[in-house]
Amino acid sequence: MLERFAGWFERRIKLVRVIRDDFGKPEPLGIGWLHCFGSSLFTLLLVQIVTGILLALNYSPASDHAWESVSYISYTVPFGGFIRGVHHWTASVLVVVLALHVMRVFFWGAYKFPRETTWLIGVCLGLLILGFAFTGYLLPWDQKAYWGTEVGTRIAGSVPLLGPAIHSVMLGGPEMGAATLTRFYGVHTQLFPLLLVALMGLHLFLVRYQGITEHWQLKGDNPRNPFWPNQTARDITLALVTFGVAVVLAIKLGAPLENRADPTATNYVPRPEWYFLCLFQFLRYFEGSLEPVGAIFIPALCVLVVFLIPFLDRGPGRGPFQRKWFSIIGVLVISALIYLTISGAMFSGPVAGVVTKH
Amino acid sequence: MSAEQPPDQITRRGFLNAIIIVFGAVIALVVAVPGIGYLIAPALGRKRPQAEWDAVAEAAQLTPSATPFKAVFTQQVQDAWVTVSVQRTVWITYQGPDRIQVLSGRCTHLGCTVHWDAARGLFACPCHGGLYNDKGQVIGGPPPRPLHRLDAKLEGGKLSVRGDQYA
Repeated sequence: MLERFAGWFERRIKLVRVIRDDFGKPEPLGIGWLHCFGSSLFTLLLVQIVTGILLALNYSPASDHAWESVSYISYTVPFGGFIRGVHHWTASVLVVVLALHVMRVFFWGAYKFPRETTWLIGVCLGLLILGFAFTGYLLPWDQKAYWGTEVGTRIAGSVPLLGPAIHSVMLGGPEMGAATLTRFYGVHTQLFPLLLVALMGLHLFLVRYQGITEHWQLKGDNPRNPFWPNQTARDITLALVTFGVAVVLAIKLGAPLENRADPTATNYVPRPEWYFLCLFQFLRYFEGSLEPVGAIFIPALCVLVVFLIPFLDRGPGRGPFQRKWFSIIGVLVISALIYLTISGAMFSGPVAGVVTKH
Repeated sequence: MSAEQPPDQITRRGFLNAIIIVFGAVIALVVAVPGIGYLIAPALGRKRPQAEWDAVAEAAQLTPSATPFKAVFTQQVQDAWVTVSVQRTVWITYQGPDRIQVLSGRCTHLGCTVHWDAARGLFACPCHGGLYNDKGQVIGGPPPRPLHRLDAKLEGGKLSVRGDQYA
């Protein structure tokens, strides 16, 4: 019966054959565990979409109810705490896997001809994931959310000339309030998911259409294994492991919910989520009028350079040792990010502050 | 295109291409122009109305001192579609009826709220280490400007303040 049903479609659309042909395509040798990060990201993003929809069913994006609704989800709705925990921790795991994925593509030289477009879309997806993290952070409307967003939006507002306009557009008014929450909610749950699905579809299509970049030392005449089931089995294994980490964290630690946002708190020390700690720490090296340099210009320049990598690195070599400068700079940047994240994390409690002017 | 057709005459195909572009653009623009306006409206927005005077302390309770004290008061604020009561904090230094200083408690760096560090005699911001002296001038850390100073007046037995940047 099922076969007849499937057969009816197959005679018309021939989709199964297309999928079977694609999955049966031989992969280059040298493809292995390092190539599983992308599909883990895909799986984790699907988990975020599903848990996000579930959360939206009980969430109220109004400043006088948001915190209460999140508290209700966390402590009253059956499985609510678990679903919120998974959404919260999957976001963190996503950032780690994203970093690993970017590193693999970078050191593999996989952004080179003909895959520049896949890289560009990938960078957009990476930024989108960080955008999700930033906009989602406000939604619980607790102290952490309120003050983290206050600082985050003011960083965007420190751009010369356009800063104040950007700040009010982000907040939906002169200060944080009801319109800020609906804006962030709309962007987090409507705009960004649409962009995500479109870009992810395009990225995946290109990956399958152009095939995975082969190892720089292996040439095309090597024997090849089909993508299905060899690589697919590795992919789903890593997806399960990364998802498992998020689930364990969700069960053990849950998603934090601090006190309701209090704009008058004078001793609250906002701490960014760990993946923004490097920026937080970096910002501390820039004082006074230099602040937009650390807050906006250098990060924006870094993003621009990341976008342009395929066009800057035009040499024929793909192996990391064949493009020494790029590899060295890559290692330095990664070390700097890790150093900034760790020093940002070590730095605890209120900033003591040092008198420098009299 | 057939050979006998004069080159300056619009072809059927060219006309249809133009229709596709123009009609498509009309649909896109009718959505996009108001849409962008809707989105960036807060930046174009009307100027905020002149701030009202808010009573923050009873004059009778004020005793001259060089030490700033915190005053919390409630303000009715129109927040998009709701009117909400917002708790505001200002720091007052009262050294006599002619020497009143009212400072916003909001750090000019990234908007965290400062507190008075009595031991060191300065305002400290917990977020990024901004420091201000008792006059609100920056003496350390990243803040680009001194603490915002609000208007103050003693009237009807009350100390009232006015300014558009409370914390």
